Amino acid sequence: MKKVLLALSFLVVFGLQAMLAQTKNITGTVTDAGDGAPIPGVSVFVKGTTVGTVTRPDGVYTLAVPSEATTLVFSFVGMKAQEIAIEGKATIDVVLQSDAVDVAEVVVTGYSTRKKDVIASAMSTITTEEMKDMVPSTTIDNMLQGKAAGVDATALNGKPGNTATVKIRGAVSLNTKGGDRAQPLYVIDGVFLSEEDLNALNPNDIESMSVLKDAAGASIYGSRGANGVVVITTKQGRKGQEARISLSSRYGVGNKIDDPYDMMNAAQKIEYEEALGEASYTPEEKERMLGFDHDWQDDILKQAIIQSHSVSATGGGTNSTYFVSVGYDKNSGIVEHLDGFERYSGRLNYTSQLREKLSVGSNMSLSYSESDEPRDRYNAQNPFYAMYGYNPYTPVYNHDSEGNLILDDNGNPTYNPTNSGLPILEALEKNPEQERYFRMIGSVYATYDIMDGLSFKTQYSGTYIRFQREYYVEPGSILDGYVGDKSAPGSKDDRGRDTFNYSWLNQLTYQKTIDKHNFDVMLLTEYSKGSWYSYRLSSKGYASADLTTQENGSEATRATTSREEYSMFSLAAAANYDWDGKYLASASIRRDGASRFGTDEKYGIFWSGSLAWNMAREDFMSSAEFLDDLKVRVSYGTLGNWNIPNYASQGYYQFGSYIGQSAGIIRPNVANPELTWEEQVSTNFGVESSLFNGRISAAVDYFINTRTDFLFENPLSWEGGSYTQYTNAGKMTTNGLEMELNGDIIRTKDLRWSMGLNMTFIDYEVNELNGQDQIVIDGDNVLKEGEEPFAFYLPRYAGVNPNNGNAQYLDKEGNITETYSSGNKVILSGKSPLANLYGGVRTSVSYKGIDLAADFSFKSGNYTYNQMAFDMLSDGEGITSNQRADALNYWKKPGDKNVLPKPMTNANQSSDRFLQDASYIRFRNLTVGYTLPVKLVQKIKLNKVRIYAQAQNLHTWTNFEGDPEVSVGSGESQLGATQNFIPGAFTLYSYPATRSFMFGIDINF
Amino acid sequence: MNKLSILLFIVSVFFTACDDKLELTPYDGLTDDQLFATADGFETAIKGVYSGFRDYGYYGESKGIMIGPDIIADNLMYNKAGRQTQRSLFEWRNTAVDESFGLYERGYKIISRANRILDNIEKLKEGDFRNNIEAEAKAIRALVHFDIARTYCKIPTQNEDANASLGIAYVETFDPSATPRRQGNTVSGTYTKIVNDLLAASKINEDNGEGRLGKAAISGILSRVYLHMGDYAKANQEADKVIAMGVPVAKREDFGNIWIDSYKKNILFEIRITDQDRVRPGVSYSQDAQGEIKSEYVVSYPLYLLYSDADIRKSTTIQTSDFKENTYNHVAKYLGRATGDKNVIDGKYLRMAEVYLNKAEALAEDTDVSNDGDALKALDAVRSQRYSPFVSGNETGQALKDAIQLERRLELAFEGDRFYTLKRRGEGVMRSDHGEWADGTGTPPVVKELKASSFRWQLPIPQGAIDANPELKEDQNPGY
Repeated sequence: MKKVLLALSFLVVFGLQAMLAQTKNITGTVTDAGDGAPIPGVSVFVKGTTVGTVTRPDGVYTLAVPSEATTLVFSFVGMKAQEIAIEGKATIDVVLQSDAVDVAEVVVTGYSTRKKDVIASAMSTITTEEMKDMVPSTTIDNMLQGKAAGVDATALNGKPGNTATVKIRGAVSLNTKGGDRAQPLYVIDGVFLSEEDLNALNPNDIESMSVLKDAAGASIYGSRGANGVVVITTKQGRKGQEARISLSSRYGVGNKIDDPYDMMNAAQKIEYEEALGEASYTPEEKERMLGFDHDWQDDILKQAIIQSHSVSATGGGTNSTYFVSVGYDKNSGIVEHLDGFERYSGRLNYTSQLREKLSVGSNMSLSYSESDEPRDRYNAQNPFYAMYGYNPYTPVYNHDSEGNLILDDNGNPTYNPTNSGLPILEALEKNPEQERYFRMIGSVYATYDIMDGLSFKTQYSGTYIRFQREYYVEPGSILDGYVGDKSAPGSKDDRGRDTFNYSWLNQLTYQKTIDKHNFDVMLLTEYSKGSWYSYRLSSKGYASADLTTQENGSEATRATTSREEYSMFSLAAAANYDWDGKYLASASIRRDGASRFGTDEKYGIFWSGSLAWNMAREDFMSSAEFLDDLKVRVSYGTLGNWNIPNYASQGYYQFGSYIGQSAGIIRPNVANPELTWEEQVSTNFGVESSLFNGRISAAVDYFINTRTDFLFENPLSWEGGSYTQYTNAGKMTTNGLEMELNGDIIRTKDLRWSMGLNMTFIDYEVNELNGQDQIVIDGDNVLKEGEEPFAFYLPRYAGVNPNNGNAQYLDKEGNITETYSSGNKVILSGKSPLANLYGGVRTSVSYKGIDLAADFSFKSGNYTYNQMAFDMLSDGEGITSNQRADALNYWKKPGDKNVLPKPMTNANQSSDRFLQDASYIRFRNLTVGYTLPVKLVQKIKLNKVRIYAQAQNLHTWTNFEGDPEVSVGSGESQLGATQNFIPGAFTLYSYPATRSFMFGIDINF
Repeated sequence: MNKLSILLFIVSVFFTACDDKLELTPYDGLTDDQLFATADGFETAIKGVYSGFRDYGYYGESKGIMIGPDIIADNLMYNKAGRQTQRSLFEWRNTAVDESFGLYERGYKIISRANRILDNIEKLKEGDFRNNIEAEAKAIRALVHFDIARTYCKIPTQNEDANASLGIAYVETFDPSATPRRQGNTVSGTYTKIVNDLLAASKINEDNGEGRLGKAAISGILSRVYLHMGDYAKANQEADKVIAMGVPVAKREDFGNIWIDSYKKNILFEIRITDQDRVRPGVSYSQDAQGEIKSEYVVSYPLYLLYSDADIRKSTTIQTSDFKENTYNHVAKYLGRATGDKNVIDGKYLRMAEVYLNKAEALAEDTDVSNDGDALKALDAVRSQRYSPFVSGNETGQALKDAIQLERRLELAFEGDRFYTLKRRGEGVMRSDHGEWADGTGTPPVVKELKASSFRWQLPIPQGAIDANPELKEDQNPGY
């Protein structure tokens, strides 16, 4: 109807234009606030008359207006109409705001979308507009860092393509096995996705992200909601819109962030070895060794080349819409010989209105990525271990006594095996490991409007993930010499996994407005099933390093496959009510049944309720015109967590072999038929406000999350056989205060300066441990009543005795002793890897075409055990490896103070000496951009061109001796299914973070 | 479509309940009821018990009985050019956190597997099959408890207060949640249970095939256990039983073949390890580095000197060769078979030569029935097959005792005996000033002497065990 009117108005406008006289000309350009592109076909007319025109394809209009005219009206389908006073101006440029798809006003809350002002739950929303200012990354979770109150995103490590550890409101799982089990649930266009598959998603495709933090928001996800939910929607086209094409490209370089310490050079290392009596070199030897002096980081690392390119097109016809995109990303990483991470991605989002009441749609994405993997372990097979551990006087290649390179039979230099026996540069070249992922994530759905307000939706969604990994130990490589078979040299290992998860959702929604009462009610059923199938094949005996597939192997050494499944069936209902947007109430209930739990405990019911009052809408507040919204809200509800292995409640015999015959082995995890859901009760009080037409917005929330029956793999006694059992154990409370403040400090036509701040204060406490005194995890972290989870459990170091240089410790009672004993371990209250404060600050300034943005993220109160410092200041224990230069500052004579202990004594012991405060402020991003003048770009038929330069990780303020942004310490000893992973617990040579400089360009046409 | 039909459709979709799809069983295993429903299931389960020895503590890739007892004593010398494994054990700095032996944890795991079979044994009908499975399970349970006890507790003959000192928990049922204390168990009590289980195992088959216990093995183990208990008469008796079964000492010409797994007749009990198991026990000792041997530990120079050129063992169990710029005396018992993966070799728990040496020692040390003649005969049964030319020393008295100990050291070097022999005899360790290189030069050991009275003869109960079972808090060995 609206369209018809508009079309009629055009006719009228055109018809009457010629008849006018006594006019003056006004000209200008109309652009889209969303992407800055000029909009053709906007109707421009003088208010109260039929005098008008439409903009040309370049968005420019010229209109002859009667001299008595005072106001111009600009209108366009899908945009908010604007009225502008003429006030004698000859040029009037207008920026139109989108109206129908106004992401700032409508947010996705999971199974539905709602207008923001009637939401009664704690959630943070990040829109396309805000994402533009975010730190570009190959994965969306890394971009979340410092962006939303209550959300703590820490890069797993610096490896290209890696995802992040994301914590919403300090979600902690006491189950530390098999990765971080407290990651939020990710829902992408209704498809459930695990955090490790997030990097299938091209961040450029994302329209908005909503982080559901309290029970009122997340409880509808029931048993999967306790860690918070991140709901991501991807871009969609718009009906009746001509194709818009966007190109986005960036290119840059990255380097390892410098260490805040120096390693010894050759002279220092020789001095150290001789001083400690570990070696004595002849002058000739020394001269030769000094001649080789070099920094291994220069040899093992390289500069990363980072690039990202994507093209998208969006638009729609009368009954359909589309969004298509392709993307390519590559980050070579910083390790010599490795190619890093490479990803190809594509997406098609499509909707079609088949009948008046029936529409269908589909969101599909494909991605393929490959990544060269360095070993992430605690020895010289890991390049980051090697580059610190190798001695500076050891050359890369072997030299004879004359100093000439020793060549092999082919005339190539031979690698020096180094103190570790394994030259990593040779290993990186000859023991290649590559991982590849092919991922399809998609959904198809149909909706039918049964009657006014009542609609039905059925959606089938699935993810298919094919993983492949190849690892080749080339024949003749040095590692092959260690681990291979002389008679069958070389070995190859292939692993793969096919994962298919699907859900079938059926949903009824009813919406009704009676007078000022607005209702909506939703009912749904959802069945989810997940399964994977994996294989692993190995063989040995390769004739040449160029033969890399197993058909060339002479003898198979391993062939195994495995499979797992899970299923869940859910019924849920939710209702929302508001009276004139003033008084809001909502409630939800969900019943989940899951295969993972004990036979009698498979079902759990989760519910929530919330109330809110938007005071700004009250008459008594009407005098406060500056106030757009002032909402007070409270919510309460229950959520669940089911993040445990698929058969965690079952105990059984597994099968291995003994002398090639089947051997029954008791599964390391024993049965618990009573195993059930972990439950979180969440209480949230919040106030949010928007002032001066959205110029300032603020939100403060206080939350109390109590987790009971938390799922935990309880280690049982060694005497009983060192088994573990998944149990529902104890109780834990997390409470915190989070705040978000965003505002435009200056907002004029040309100049805009805005700032944003978010911060979250959190306290954690273990309240009950099911009768157990304490649970120690991997020796150094502990769960104990009244303490922060994973508090460090270490003997206390008490400095160096200036009289004899011995390291001193405190015994349990706090007396100084020089005798080290692990029996003197104490719980270091308040010192855990968990942060008590985190957040981000951002600021951006734009002046005409120039924009500048900076953002910082910070964390405080978190401690990390610096195992790297332990190794590199080992008081002589690790003297065969290189040490930090400050290791030379050790005790030499009575009275020496501020020194390290006397070497080769009792000093190199695990204690809190190397437990360091890993608080930091990181200058994450600085971007300077320039948008070319519209008039200029139109000459080359473009709508918008922006170029920018960007720097990441420019500086980090911290007292930590190393990079404080630690999540994974050592991948191969933390991320396995049976290994413990406490994010941030220690540093141990995982892939370091990089500082990068990029140049980018965005073009729209 | 009219609205009613659509509503009906929706209602039907909503009530397509899928509850029965929530019962999912794993693909990777069987329940006890399924496994123990057949005799074959018991066979499979008992093999699973043996496979537990293919791990730290016994024949894994580091730590454990195949190397620890030689590191901590005087047979092995730390090699600086190695990977620095087990250095704290070598230098007697090992602590509860860095316990370095690995036997406590993996040992009790093996015991738990044996106990689960015993808990289900009633599911078998009475008869030979059941008797044999029960005997195997009990024998394994006993020998693992024995190894834990002699490592972490005093050995009865070690000194006077040993028998009354703290024993270990003797676990006889499968109960993963049990939190037993050591307190209340004495060494003598522990050994009584060990012997009872081994005696009950006499119903075992004559021969259960390779890599499994049989009658001869049980008696052989008993001779070892009795020697630890100072019960020389019984040690001798059990040795005699094995000898009567006709198990031979490896002949001189066969001796080298033991260490490439091509001669087996002298072996009473071993853990079989194949390439497919992906466990390379020899890595504890050394790895191949571009054709050279890179040893973690090498033969200590004083021990090397004890092997005469007439001794076949000098050339078959020691390999003198270069690694980088230096020459070393590498241990050659674990380099691997003629073909297949390097450093893969069966774990030899008990060989016939030891039974003879047990017998010789028992007869020579037994003050009640001093029988030097038979002791010498038993000793010569081994010696005659090692030296060429061989002339018996015809020793008696202390000379005979010394000769027995010398031969024991030479024969069983690097097989996990040395520490226990010194410990049970109440002797200390005194290392020489020699270094790691073949000619005795190099870096001398940092610490040389471990007095017989040191607390370090009893290894620390690992901190992990105490963390998992806080009942043990007061049960740590003194000194740690």
